[in-house]
Order: sequence, then structure tokens, then C-alpha cells
Amino acid sequence: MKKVSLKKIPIKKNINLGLLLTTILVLALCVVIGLILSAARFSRNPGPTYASATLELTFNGAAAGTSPNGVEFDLRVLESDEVLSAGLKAASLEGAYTPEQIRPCLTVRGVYPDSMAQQVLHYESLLDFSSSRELSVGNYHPTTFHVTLTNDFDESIARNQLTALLNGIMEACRRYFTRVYSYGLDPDSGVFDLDKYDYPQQLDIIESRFNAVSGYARTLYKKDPAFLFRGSSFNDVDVRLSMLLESSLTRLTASLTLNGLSKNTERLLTQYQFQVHDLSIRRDMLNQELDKLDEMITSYEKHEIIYLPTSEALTKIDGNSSATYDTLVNKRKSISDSITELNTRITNYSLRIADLNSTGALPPNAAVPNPAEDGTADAEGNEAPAAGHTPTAKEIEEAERKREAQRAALEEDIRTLVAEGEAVISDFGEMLQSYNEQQINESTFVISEASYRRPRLMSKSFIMQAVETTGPIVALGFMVCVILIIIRKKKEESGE
Amino acid sequence: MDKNERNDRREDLILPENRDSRIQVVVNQQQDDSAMEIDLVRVFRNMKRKLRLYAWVMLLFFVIGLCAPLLLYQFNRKPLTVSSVVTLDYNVVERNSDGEIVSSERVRNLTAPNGNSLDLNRITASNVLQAALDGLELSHPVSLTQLRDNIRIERILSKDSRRQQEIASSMIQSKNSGAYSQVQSISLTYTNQFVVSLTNGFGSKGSELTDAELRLVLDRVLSAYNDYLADTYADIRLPDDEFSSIDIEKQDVLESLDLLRSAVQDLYDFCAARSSSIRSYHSWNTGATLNDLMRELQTARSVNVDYLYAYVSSNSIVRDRDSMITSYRYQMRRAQTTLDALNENVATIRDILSNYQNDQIFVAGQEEDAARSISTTTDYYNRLIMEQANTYDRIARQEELIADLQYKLDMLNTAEAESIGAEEREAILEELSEALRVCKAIYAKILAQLEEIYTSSFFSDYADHTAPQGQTAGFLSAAAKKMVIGGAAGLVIACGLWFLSALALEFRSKEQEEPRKETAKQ
Repeated sequence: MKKVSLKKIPIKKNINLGLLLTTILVLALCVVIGLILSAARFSRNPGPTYASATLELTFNGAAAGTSPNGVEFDLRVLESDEVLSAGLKAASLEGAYTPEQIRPCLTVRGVYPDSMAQQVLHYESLLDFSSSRELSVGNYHPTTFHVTLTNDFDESIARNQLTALLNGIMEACRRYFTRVYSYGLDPDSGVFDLDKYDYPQQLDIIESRFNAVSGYARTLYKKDPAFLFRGSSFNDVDVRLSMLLESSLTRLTASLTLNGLSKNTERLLTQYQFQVHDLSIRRDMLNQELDKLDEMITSYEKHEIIYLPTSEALTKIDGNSSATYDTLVNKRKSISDSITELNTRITNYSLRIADLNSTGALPPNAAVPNPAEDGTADAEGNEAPAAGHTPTAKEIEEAERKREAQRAALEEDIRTLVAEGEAVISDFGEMLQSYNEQQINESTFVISEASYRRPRLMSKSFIMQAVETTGPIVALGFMVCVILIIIRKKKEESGE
Repeated sequence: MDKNERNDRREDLILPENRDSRIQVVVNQQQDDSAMEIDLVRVFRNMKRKLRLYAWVMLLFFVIGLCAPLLLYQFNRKPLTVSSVVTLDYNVVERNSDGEIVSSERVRNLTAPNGNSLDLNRITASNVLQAALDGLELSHPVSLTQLRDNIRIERILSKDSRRQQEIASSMIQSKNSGAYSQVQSISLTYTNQFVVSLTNGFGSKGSELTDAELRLVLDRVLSAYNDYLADTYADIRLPDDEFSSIDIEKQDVLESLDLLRSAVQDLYDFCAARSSSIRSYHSWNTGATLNDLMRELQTARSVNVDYLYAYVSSNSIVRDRDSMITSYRYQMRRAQTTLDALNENVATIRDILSNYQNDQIFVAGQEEDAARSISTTTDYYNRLIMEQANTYDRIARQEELIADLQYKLDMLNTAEAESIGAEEREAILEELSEALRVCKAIYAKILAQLEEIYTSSFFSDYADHTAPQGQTAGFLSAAAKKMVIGGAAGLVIACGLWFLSALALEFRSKEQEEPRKETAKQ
């Protein structure tokens, strides 16, 4: 027996070697067939080329979805005509393609936490005391965005052109963002031509403009009190303008009011009288309405609220009388406030009329009505020039010269006030520019260089496709080989 | 001897002490005392002898076990579902009967911007889906019905509602008596977020969308829904350009000024009716807010319009006095008619209120003497009261208008009123022209400001959505668990076959030994 087995050993080895070689050959053949099939499939539909870039936002408020000027930003601006046109221009492709062609090929995708939908739907039971009660993702705003420009619009576009186009679009987006999501200031002083107006009106216009800018600076100071530009904060702008309003403007207003300075005193008087008349009508009507409303409030059937105790809870019985009553009272208060405001304005106009009368600014033949007729009196008790006294020509000339000098001084003061105010506003404009640059710049609006991707035989997508195609063929081949080996082994056993 | 008796006797048999490694097997019950003993040691020896063969068999079955799930996965692949979280982002505005904003609050639940309940089914409305698919080039055509069928919307209950539900549920489980009244009092509220999912179930295999396309479609659907909300609810009206209708050459001075005053007031009221967030928005271009522009309009009214109006109306400067008097008389008559109608309305309401009977409610206390009767105001009664208050308001405005018209008529009718000279008229027309220019310039600024706001996120972002998430798992990772089970099952089957083959060999050898034993006995 031993001799026989010794003789068979070399034959067995040859058989095993043959089987091994056959198996390797079959497997190699399967791999080759699989790869050829994969390559054929891939070359038939390789997919478009594309350029991609990443955008990271790190300015204040980016994580809350708000831009530096406090408005919610929207990165769909990347697809706007303005940005796409600027991008095409930057890549010197403005004549070759239109924004309409590029827009469908551009995708902007924010990076969100994984499984956000599941996290939002997740609920931790109140009765489960072991739960960690972590905050859910809630209203998440991404700060990183992947921007992809897929080349579906022109197969012949070169690699550098595609990347240049995406870089141009991203840069245009940054410029657009810097402009639209920042704080601006109109350097134009407004629609009014000051010289065409009388002095009190000029002061009204100046006050309106300064108040608007001052309020703007105040808002920004509340938002960012730490910001400094050349050692000044937004609060300094507010303070400087407030000082101008409180000191210079008040001084000028006092001067022109008490001296009755005007380019056309008669017209000014007419306006004041008209205002008093107009406001008085409104006040009287509101007073009538107030009386009727008071009657309603008195006669309103306001009822008690009853709570009935039951076994489980208290039941409320109420006919919403409180809510209606409160609305009526609120309405009454609002009317009452309006009347107070109207009274204040009427008093102001009446005082101005009295000032015009008392300063002798009106020409002797001008009809001067008594402001007391309108139900108001001169608060300071000033009286009009005594009737019966006729000024001499010299007195009139002297008074006129004096008034001319006062007018000239007033005009100079107004010009100075405007110049000072505009200087503050100009400083504020520079400060805003600096603030905007600090908020949105290359380190807070980070754009990566666009990278070009072309589906290749060594790309991930091809490898996946090759594994999917070759895998089953190799598995099948391997199984066939194993079956052959088993048959051979079986025969060997039968032979033994 | 029946079968049971034979089995009983065999149970009574005692196995030899040293033969406990042998299993007594009844091979054929039809034959008398045909019990066959199998020697496990020999079976395992047989298995060992067949090891080389069955190692390959095991490998084959193991590979089949691994490959079968992969093959099945290719045919029964689960379609991909992508999901996106949508967050409603707007103000819910409450207006009174005059259209004025009473309150404006950030949305907290599924309420539409106008205060009504938001219908989420509009996401799958044909116009929204069509807008989403317009201009979209997909690898396979998708119909609106298919798209609608594959979209799922999940609302999210607020935490309070869920906990109320949870507590009521535990009360019901513990058979608490108050559980059912507790359940009845639960009002479910949903948060301002919801999840929209799209499943890739567009027809047969091979005609499905790619993962990227599926995500793109969901993204487009939600963007189209956002646009639908903006189109439906965004109040992007611009103020009417009343200034253009003023023609100072053709109209009388006083008439032009009346129109100018009215246009300025209407523009101011329009701006005042915007919400506070819109009025306080700083323009990126000018830095101004709508409040600033309203203040500028007030200044223009004071220094331009009223200044001129006071002079013109006080001095009755008109081109055609008779025509103006006729016009004002007609306006006066109309205003008086309206005032009479309003007064009648007030009288009617007052009559109704004086006779109106509010609800009488009998309250029965637990004790007899605690019972009492009270009356409460009904909704209708309160509505009448508010209507009366609003009518008083309108009456006051109408009376103010009448007083103003009366003043103008008085001024026109005074003896001193005379026609003005050409030079003065020229100066007034120039002043009027300047006032009109200023007002038009402010109107243009307001228009630009509103257009800027309307194109900003205030009016474009109503439903913010996250990027659609969801990815097809790789075919290896998706079938990994099944592959492990398949591989193990293949090994078990191969082992079973191995054992059976060894057992078969043992039977065969027993069968061969039987004739020899019988021959030896004989």
C-alpha cells in the first residue's frame, strides 16, 4: 500500500498545481472581462466635467443666518444675473455664454449636520429620565457651502476656462455680498435746495437730516459698541450730531424766532396762522370724538368673570368683555395723546406768531391778528408794538439795517452748521466703509480656489462601477473553479 | 404484536455500560429487531477522511452564501429617500377691519403670513410641482402624479403637545379617571418646521433618477414652494404715483395743491401701514430707513406744501374763482351726505345696543344658596361696540374735511379776494413746481427703498429649507449583514452535507458488514 501511495504523490501534486493554475487563469480572465465591460460602460456615459469650490462665511451673525447689516442673507445671489454676468466678464467669456446658460449648471449646497431630518423629528420622552435632553439642531444655518459648476453647457470648454469662470462668479459674489449686505450712506444731502427756503424751514430741513443720521449711528452703536475707527466709535458720531442739534440748532432757532428773522415775514405769519387754524379744527374734532368715546366707555356693560370650581379644574365664564373694554380705553388714550400733541403744536405756532408780533418784524401795514383769538396766548407775555407810535424814517432805516446784519449773521451761522454737520456725516461715511471692510473681507468670506474634476478611469466613480461589474463575474468564475476542484477531488476519492 | 408494544419493549432495553458512545437508531421499523447502531467515532473518522473534498465544498457554499445577498440586493434594491427640513420664516401679521397692522409676530407654528392655517398640501400642488420641473433636464421623464405620490410631508408636534399626549397616554394606561377629559382638552400644535421627503420610486428599475437628480428635484420643489408662498402672501404693493396726475399748467393752483396734499398724505399712510421691521430696514445703498423717508416727507409737507397752501388758501389765489367755488360746494355736499349716513349708522347701532339683551347665565354652585344668575357680553355685542367706536372715528375725519372745505369756501367768498397779478402767479407756480419736484423725488426714494426691500430676504425667504440629505448605501455595506448570515448559512449547510456524507458511508459499511455477520453466525 505504501509503495502505491508513494508513486501517486507526484501525480497528485501535478493535478493540484494544474487546478491552481486553472483557477488563477479563470479568475484573471473574469477580472479582465469585468474591467473591459466596466470601461465600456464608463466610456459610453462618463458624466460631465465640473469645477467646484468651497465658500466659508465667518463674519458676525453668519451662524445665525444674518449678514453684517442684520438682514438674512441668501446665497442664491450667486445665481443672479448681476453676479453671473460679472463672473463671465471676469473670465472673458461674456460673449460666449449667457447667464441663462450658466444658471442651471450652478449648484450651491450648504453643509448641514448629518441626518438633520431625523434629529428634528427626534423627541425625548418626558418620562424618560435617563435621556440627556440635548438641544436639537433647531433652525440651523450653514456657514460652509459647496459650489459646483457642471459643464452641461459646452463640451468644448477648456479646463482653465471652466475654473476661471467659477472663480470669477465666486469673486463677483463676494463683491455683491460686500455691497448689498453692508451698511451704506447716501452722501447726497437730500432733495431740498436750502437757499430756496425761509430760515425756519431751512432749520427744519437740517434738523430732519441730522436726526436721521444720528439715529443711524445710534443703531450701529447699539449693535457694535466696541467698533473704533481712528479712535472714534459710532457713539461719537451720534454725540457730535446731537451736540450740533442741541446747541447750534437751538441757538439759531432761538435767534430767528425771538428776532423774528425771516425772508418773508408775512408769508411766515400766514403759514403759522393757517397751521393754528388747521390744527385747531383737527383738535376740536378729536375732542368731540373723545366725548363720545367717554360716553361709550361709561355705558359699556362690563361684566364679571366667574370661575366655577369642578372636580378637576376651574371653568372660566367670560364674554370677552375685558378685551373689548380695554380696546376702547386704548383708543381713548390714543385720541387723548393726539389731542395733547396737537395742543403742543398749536401752542408752538402761537408762540411763533407772538414772536413775530413782538419783534416788530412785520411791516407796519401788515395785518397782524391777535393769536389769543385762536384760544392761545403769548406765553412770555410779550406785547405787540404799542399802537399809535409811528416810527420815524431813521428808526425804520436803523431797524432794517440791524435786521439785515442779523440775517447775514444767521445765514453765515446756518452755512457753518451745515458744513459742520456734513463733516460729521462724511466722517461717518468713512467709518461705515471701514466697518464694512472689517465685517466682510477675505478672511470672513473665504473662497477656495476652484478645482477641476473630470471623470477618469482611476476616479472613484469608475472604481465603484468596476467593483459592481467585475465582482459578480469574478464570484461566478470562482464558484465554477471550486466546482471543478470538487469534481476532481471526488474523482480522486473514487480512485482511492 | 402491534407497533406500540414493540416500542415499549425496546425502551425497556438497557444499553451496555461501555457503549454509551453509540447511538441506537431504529432504521426500519417494518423489520423485526432491525435496530442499527451507528458508531459516531467512525462517522467522524469518515468526515476526517472527506475533509479535503468538503473543505472545497464548504468554500463553495460560503462563497454562494456571500454572493446570494449581493445578487438579491441588485434585484430588490430599496429606493433612496432624500429628506429636507423646511423652516417657515416670516411674520404673521394681524390686521384690523381697516387693513391696519395690529400685530406682527414671528411665525411659531403652521400659520400662514395672513394668520390663516397653512395648507402644507400646496407643496404637492400641480403649479408648484410644474414650476419645479420647468427647465429641469432629467435622465428619465417624471410625471407630476409620480412626483406627488413619492413626496411625504411630516409635521412636527411641539414639545408641549407631545408631552401632553405622553402624559394623557400614561394616565389612560393607569386607568386614571380624569384621563379622558385630559385627552379632550389637548390641543395639538405643530412647530414652524416640517420634514419633506422624496422617494426614488419613479417607475421600473433602470428608469429611476440618480441620487443627485433626486436631491435636485426635492430642492427645486421646495424652492418652488417658497416662491409660491412669496407670490401668495408677500405684500409687495408699491404706492400709487398720485404726483404724476398733478398738472399745474391745466389745474387751478388751489386744486393742484389739494391734490398734492392728498397725495402726500396717502403716501405717508401707505408707508405707515408697513410693518415696523420694514420701516426700520436700513438701505444698503443710502443707509436710510423708511422711517427716515417718512420724516423727510413730513418735512416736505411742512416746508413746501403747507407753506404754499397756507398762502394760497388764505389769499384765495385761484385762476377761476367760480369754478373752484362750485367744485368745493360739490365736495361739501358729498362730504355732508357721507356724514349724515355715518350719523345714521351710529344712531342705529345705539338703538340696537340699548335694546340688546346679553346672555343670561345661571350658575349653580355646589351649595343651594350659591346659585345665581349673571349676564355676559356676547361677541356680537362687542362687535357692535367696536363698530360704533370706529364710526365715531370716521365721523371725526368727515367733520374735519367739511370744516376745511367750509374754510376754503369762506375765504373764496370774502370780499377781499381778488385775482392776483401775472408776476405773482408765476412765482406761485414756480413754488408749486418746486414743491411737486421735491415730493416726486421723495416718492422716487420711497419707491427705490421698497423695491430694495421687496427683493431682499424679507420677501423672498418664506420657507427656508436645508440641503436634501440621503444617500444610497454602497452595495457592500447595504448587504453586509445579509452576507454574514448567508456565509454562515453556507458553512452550516456544507457542514451538514459533510456529516451526511460521512453518515452515508457508515450506513454503507454497515450494510456491507451485515451479510458477513450472518455468514459468520451460520
